[in-house]
Amino acid sequence: MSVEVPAGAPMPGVAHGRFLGERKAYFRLLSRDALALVATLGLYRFWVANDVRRYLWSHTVIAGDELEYTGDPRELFVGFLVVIVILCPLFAVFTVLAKVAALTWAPALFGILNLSPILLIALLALLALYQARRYRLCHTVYRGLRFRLRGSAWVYALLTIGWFIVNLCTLGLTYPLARKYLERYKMRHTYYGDLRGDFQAPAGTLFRSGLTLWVIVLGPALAIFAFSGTSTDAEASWALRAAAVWLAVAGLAVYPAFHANALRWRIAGIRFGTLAMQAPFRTLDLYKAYLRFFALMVPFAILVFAVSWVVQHRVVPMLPEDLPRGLELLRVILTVLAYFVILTVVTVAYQATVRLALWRLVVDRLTLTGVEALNDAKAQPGWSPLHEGRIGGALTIGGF
Amino acid sequence: MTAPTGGTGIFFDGVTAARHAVTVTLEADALSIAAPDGAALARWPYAHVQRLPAAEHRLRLGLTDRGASARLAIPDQAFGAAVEERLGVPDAEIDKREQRRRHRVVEWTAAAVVALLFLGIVGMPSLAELLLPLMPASVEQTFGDTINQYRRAAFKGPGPFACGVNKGETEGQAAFLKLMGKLEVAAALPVKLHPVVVRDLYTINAFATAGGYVYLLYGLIDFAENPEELAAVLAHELGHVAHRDSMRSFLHEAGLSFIVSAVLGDVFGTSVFALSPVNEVLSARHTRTEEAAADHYATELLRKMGQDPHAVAIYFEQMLRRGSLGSTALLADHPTNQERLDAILATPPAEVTSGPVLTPEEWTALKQICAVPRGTGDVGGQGPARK
Repeated sequence: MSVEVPAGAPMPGVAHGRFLGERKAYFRLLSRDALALVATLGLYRFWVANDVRRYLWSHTVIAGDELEYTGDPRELFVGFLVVIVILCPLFAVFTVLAKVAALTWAPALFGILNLSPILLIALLALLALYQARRYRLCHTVYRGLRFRLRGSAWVYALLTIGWFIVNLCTLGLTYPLARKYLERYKMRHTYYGDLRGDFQAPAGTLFRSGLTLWVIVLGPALAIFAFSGTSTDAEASWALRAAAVWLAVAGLAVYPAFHANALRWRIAGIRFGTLAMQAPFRTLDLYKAYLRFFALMVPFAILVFAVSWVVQHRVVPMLPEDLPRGLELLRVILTVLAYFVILTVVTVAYQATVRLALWRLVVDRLTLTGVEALNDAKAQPGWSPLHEGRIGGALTIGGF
Repeated sequence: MTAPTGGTGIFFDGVTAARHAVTVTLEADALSIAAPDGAALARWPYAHVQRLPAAEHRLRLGLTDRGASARLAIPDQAFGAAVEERLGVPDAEIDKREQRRRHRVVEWTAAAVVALLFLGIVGMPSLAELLLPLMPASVEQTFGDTINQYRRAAFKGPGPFACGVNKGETEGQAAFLKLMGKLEVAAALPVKLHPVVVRDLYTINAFATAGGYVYLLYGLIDFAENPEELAAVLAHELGHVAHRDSMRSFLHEAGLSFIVSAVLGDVFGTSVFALSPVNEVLSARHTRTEEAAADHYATELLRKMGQDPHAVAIYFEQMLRRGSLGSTALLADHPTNQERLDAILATPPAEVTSGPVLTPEEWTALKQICAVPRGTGDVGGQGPARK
């Protein structure tokens, strides 16, 4: 048994994080839940998310004390039912109306009207993201106090959309600035007890560390675009395709580096009073985690392709063209099941590789300074976490 | 060695984040927590204390009341074991209870999924049936008009979309309209029909969409041996118009997308529905029941016209025999089986009381409606019958 900080002693200013979880135990937990996930066509995801969070939180020791997740999967499930009962019919009606409107009054606007439900989904997803963070934070207990997220999901969603448009116009060069202001909004509305958070990472740091990656990914693509502007049509279409391939390949290759940079920067920006933190984990370690994920996914993809080929070219031709209704139904059910099996395997593999590795990297390399700031934190009087962020929490749990 | 009844702990009172080094005493019915100077801080009855998730060999306790966030950590393993023993409920028991609860969750959700599937298969068609009378005819008409525009716009040629408009095709068009006129009069539908022969020389197919639009692809005319066969197929399509099948499948599909979103837990299903092109949504394949109803309608219509009500079945049978070179689009859109043919043949036969629906001259003219000399087919269209 080890508690780094002797009980009762005045707390030194510097403290560290430690992750006590083991990959085997975590994987056991995930694979047990995976079966239930398939059997319930994904409805079990609330319980899986709960298990995953409880495991990660409770095995995370920061300055000698564990984090604790107190969420209840049943709450999220109920939130999800509320969403279905209220939102889905509204949505179905909205979609049908958009379609009818497009068909009857404005065929020319068909594309836009048809897309409007998708845009509405994007907005809802942003709202849900903030609400889900609210739920996670207010169900995180540390040293007997809860975190809390205030602020408005609407404001955050609109800020995100605004910055998204700006980033699009500047080809991503303003991303660090956008990230900074969005993080600041979140952190300034985050509380540990009554201790208010803040975000103080300069955008320039992220800009400098990301510029090389930006040049690697966008440089050649832009050069090809410039080249295609002065050439014939046949060459231009070839160039466009080459640029798209380069964007995809290079983007995928540098993504882990970008992910690591942004995460280190974000953690270094977090403040609670005088409390600050750093997690200088190595980018290479995150690459290893991503490689493990791909190493799992490649044989799986080959397996999926092989099975679907056999089904398509060997099994389907053997079936009579006019299937009896029962068999046709069975085929539909099997297809849906296959979809969920694939989804579950990919999710579990991601959780067991990238998510776990990332969590471990960050926690094990976490160094906190100014920890004494926590001693002054008090619970916010008259506040109960029990009804916050349930519905949003339920919506964005898709990938838990 | 007896289990210790007292030891040290780290206590968080849930009011501040301060760490309190405390002494913990195991009393008869409660844990008592006191500061080193002896001042009592808290007294937790065993019945209200629960073990919290933690790594192996770390014991953390809290109260069963979810709102309370006071926590007690016991660093000493031997004392921790004594505390756990005193709490009474061994871990295995808690695990088993949790396991049972989980199993119930899985069972209930699996049942819910089955119920939703049932709703999708049985409930949605009946819901569509319920909503169908509420859709005004004017909406259906506008739907049909718009789809017609899309169809015409999507036609690549060569030549105009409709046959019977070029020079040399007008006689065929007159014959076609005469045939359709006979059918329309007998059918006496509430909507006006907009029949058209589509300049698709190879696809053997015919379909009807909302608003009385009836599309006859030339491939079918080319394939038919006599005008009665053609009349039978068109009578079947009028059945779809009379039963508003196009509208029904639109409503049906909207409902299904709702079910999919419910199961997947997002609005994915709805978005798929929203993105599918108009044609797909509105000319979706009809269900078996709808096909059977259209068959029945066709037999009645032919009977009313004084024609052989079994002509539909005979034509399909011929298609099956002659079309064994591959499945034709007509067969793909109208899955034919013995059951269906039997149902048509089971209707009472009737004397053929009226003459042929078209004169031999008119029939020849109809065959020329797309101005194709017999035997040559190199004019365009979509190539041999699509799958």
